[in-house]
Amino acid sequence: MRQRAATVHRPAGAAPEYFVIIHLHGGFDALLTTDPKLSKDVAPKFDFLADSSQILDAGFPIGPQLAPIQAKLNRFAVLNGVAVQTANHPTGDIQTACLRTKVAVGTPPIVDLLGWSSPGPLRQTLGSAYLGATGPECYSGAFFGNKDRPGDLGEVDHDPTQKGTFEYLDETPHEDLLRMAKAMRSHRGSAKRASLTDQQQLDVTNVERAAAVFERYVQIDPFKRESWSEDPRADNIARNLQRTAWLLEQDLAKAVFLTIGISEWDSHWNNAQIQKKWNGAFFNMFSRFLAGLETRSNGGGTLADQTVIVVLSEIGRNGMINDAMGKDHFPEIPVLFYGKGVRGGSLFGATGTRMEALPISPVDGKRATAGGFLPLLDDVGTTLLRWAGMDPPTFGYHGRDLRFLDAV
Amino acid sequence: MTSRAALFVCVLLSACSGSAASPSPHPAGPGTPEAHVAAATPHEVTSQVVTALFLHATMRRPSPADLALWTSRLDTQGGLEQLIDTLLDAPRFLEMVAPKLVADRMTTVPTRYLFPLAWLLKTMKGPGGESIYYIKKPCAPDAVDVVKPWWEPTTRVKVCKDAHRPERFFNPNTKIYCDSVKSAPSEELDDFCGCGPNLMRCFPTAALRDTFNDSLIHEVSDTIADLTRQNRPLADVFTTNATLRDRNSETIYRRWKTEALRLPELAGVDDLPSWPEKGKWAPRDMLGPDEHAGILTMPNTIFESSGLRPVMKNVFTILWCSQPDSTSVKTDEFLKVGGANLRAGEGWQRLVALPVCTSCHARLDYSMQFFQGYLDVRVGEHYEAAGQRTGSMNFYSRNIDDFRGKDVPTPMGFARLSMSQPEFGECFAHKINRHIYGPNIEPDDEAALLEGFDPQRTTFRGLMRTALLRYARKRLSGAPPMASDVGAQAANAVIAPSADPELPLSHPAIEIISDSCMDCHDGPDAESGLDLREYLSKQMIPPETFAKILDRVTARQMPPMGSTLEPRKRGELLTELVSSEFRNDPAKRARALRHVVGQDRASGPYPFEAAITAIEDAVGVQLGRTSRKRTNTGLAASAKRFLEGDVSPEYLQFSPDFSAATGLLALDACKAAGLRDAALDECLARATDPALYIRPTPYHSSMSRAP
Repeated sequence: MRQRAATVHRPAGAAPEYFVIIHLHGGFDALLTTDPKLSKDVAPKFDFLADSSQILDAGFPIGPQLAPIQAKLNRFAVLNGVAVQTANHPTGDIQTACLRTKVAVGTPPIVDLLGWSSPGPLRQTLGSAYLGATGPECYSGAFFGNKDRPGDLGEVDHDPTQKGTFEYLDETPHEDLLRMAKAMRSHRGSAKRASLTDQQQLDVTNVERAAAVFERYVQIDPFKRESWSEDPRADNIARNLQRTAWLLEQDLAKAVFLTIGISEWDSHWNNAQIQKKWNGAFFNMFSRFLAGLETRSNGGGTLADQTVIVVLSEIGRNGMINDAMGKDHFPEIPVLFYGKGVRGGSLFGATGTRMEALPISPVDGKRATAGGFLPLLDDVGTTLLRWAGMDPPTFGYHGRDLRFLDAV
Repeated sequence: MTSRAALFVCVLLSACSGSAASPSPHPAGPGTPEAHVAAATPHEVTSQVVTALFLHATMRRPSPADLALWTSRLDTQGGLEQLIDTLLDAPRFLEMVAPKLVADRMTTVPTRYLFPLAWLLKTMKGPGGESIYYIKKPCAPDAVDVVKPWWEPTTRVKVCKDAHRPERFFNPNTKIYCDSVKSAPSEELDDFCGCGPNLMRCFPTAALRDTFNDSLIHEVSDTIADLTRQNRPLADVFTTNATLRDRNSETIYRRWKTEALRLPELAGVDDLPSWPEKGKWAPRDMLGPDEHAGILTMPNTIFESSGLRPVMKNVFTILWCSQPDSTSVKTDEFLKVGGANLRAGEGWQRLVALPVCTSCHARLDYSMQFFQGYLDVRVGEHYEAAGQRTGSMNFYSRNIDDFRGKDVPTPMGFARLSMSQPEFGECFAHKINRHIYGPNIEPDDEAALLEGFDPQRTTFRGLMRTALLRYARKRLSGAPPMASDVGAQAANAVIAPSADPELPLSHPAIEIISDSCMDCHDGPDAESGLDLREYLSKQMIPPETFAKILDRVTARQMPPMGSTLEPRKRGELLTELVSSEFRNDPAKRARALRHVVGQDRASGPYPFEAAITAIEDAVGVQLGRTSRKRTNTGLAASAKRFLEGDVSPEYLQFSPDFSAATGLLALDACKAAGLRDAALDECLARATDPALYIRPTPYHSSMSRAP
């Protein structure tokens, strides 16, 4: 069995107040972002960067398409070569929602655990919230959120007026929100909840959760949509990032799962162009989002100081260029970690000449000459639960606790 | 509190547990959840069954008059079969429920690849003030062609020459066709393609373009609806050449023909206006042998995704209810495939034989070969007869060792092979049962529908009739609906605490493992090197092996697809395993059972469409559908859409979002009814009652009883 995470309850105030998981759908290319390599570093037929000028310095080497967040990587830990053990999108989607391999549809996503099951009373109105191109694999007994629709050419609809549950709530008059909350609470009754089954209790709780959101909407600052880009694709990403920041700032949700795109990074054709288009769109908007977290606060300090962010894709991209100048799927991915408690400015994981993961030390996360291990998606989920002060095995997480990711 | 609200609370919060009631035909033991809810009277049960049959068949509750009529009739003179036949004749069953159950997303989600917005024509003014169409940029007034447009062939329009290009069908530089998504003006790497003959790739307005997406969806759903109305065998859905289609859909088939044969004019352009706008049954032209196979080769199916492999994935979801099953992929094995294009080229042959890939790709990739005439949307969007394979092609199921037969490599050959496998019948039995029972399907429910199943004779309507009759008879005879609250049941499992690092295997766990796992995991040649014999005899298991088993059983990956481990037994095994893992910590055990076994599930509601109609009925407004356009995820009048509309009944739950969504739709409905102040409050309370949405369970079984 992989080393279990100990049940560590961090000291009061040590656990992050918020968690954000960002899923870049389709598979962003490690070579162009977190794992740059030159021709001398790769086996024949494998892709590489044209020259060293494309490798940027962020305290560790990064690829050219991570440039928009280069200056912010001092708060990031990057882990390359994380095995997802699948090369197919639907399986990867379910796994990404859970940050765990070997899961079936219907398994509650990890943001539900981070949001609703964290130790201690929940401060926020919502435990978890979902934004972006949410798929049915995220649906659970605690689901609350939006679903962006596919539009032209199978990409996420770039219509900036696209709406979901949160937008519908935005436009509902306060008086009506309170009416609805009252109506919903009228079904609550007064009998003892102890006599209910787990499922019945959750039904009652869910009505109360929805009513609580309606009531809270009346008390908080309204969401203000800003245009961050003239490119509708980038601006659609901005829309969801702005909503994420608002959910945190207003203390409305504890954990947010944001899915960007519907296979937008799935670059089987013209890898370089497609990756550039979508990495450019995302990381530029993400940089501005991070800047906002650093300046905005809600009484508990800046949002940046209270939040952990994880950025990943459901599958990776193969190191080889195919005959359509694209890159096919790969069962390993890079993962970016940002924020409270994360050892910023650090690169972990190691990959070989075929972009394949190499064993790393459980102590420092660097290439191991002996006794190392290959990081697995389950390790990411396990570590995140531990950061939240939870006992991972209780929730079926048997991964390795990646303590090298912790801030010193 | 409204009466309906009181009913929900009565049931949900057990406030009525002390009320007088008839003895339950299935008395619950003390301490069990059923014990909290007194049984309904026979008349009440009949009323519940009538309501449920209406919901299952039409996704709408009966009107008070219908409920009274049929409840009374069933109570006094029978007539269950008559009720079900009446419901299966209802337009809502034929036009909405049946197509959705048969073809799922193909009847609700439009392909986003066939009509890129970039092909929308723009207009400039000519020297005489006349309109001139262009695509990328305006042109000189003398650089125009006069063209007969496909949308109004009796007229003539002017178009810039570089937007017309009727002779260009294939770009030799990029090796893609002009109807590919990559040839759309916004995507094209060079300036080669135009709108083509009669401007067939272009649209004069976005509104016209949108009607095409709608039409292609309707070709699928209307064809299924009419075949169901005629009570034709299920096989016809996947083999018919003729379809029920409107003028727009017919235009697309003619466009395919024009692209494939490189015709100078859109095939039959002058006849198009005579095609009935609302559609008719008609055969489809075939450019190659057995090019068409029912809904499988309709544009909204065959070009639904980018590439044949994902199309096949979707097709197998419809035909076999296949779920993604790509796990334990090892990088070293994966890299052995090499640098071939695995998606569209010949790399598939290496992929299907790889140990880590074969479980999906033997099925998907061999099946793709039956459809090789249909291009990848990034190469083209029509049928090229030259691409269709000849000879015969193998067909596999679970992996490369599970050969199921061979047939001619055409769509029709694929349809024959896939429908003759047991997975086909099992899938349709499952689809119908999950629609009726949600996650709480019992093995007998599946078996009943599979008895005598033959796709060439069995009809969808017949299957639904059998399932509804079975459901009604079970309920009327007193059997409560099956429980899904696994976590609650699981709490009874107890294993003695111990400090041994090895984990104890309980007797029930040993029994289930012996029955379900030992075919593959017994002896030195056991699958994956996992020999369970010794662990079973010692009744102890090492932690590493234990975790592996727990993960695989939880993920429903073991036993593998097609195994006999029914859901209830799987739940029992998980309960035993989790109880063993947390044998020393009751609090963690309880939490783990709720999460790992019970999946923190809320109750299962009826499909979201039924919730929408429930709101309409509760408010007494018929907001209706303002167009043919599907609005399965929201009221037409409010146009609000939610994820709930896309979630399978097995996984749909009464989540906070479900509650919020129904609340928001209720608000729209109550306001559309013109209500204000106290009347609005009362309306909202009525329309947000969870009892309208949640399926009956043993704990909700007295839902209709007055408090």
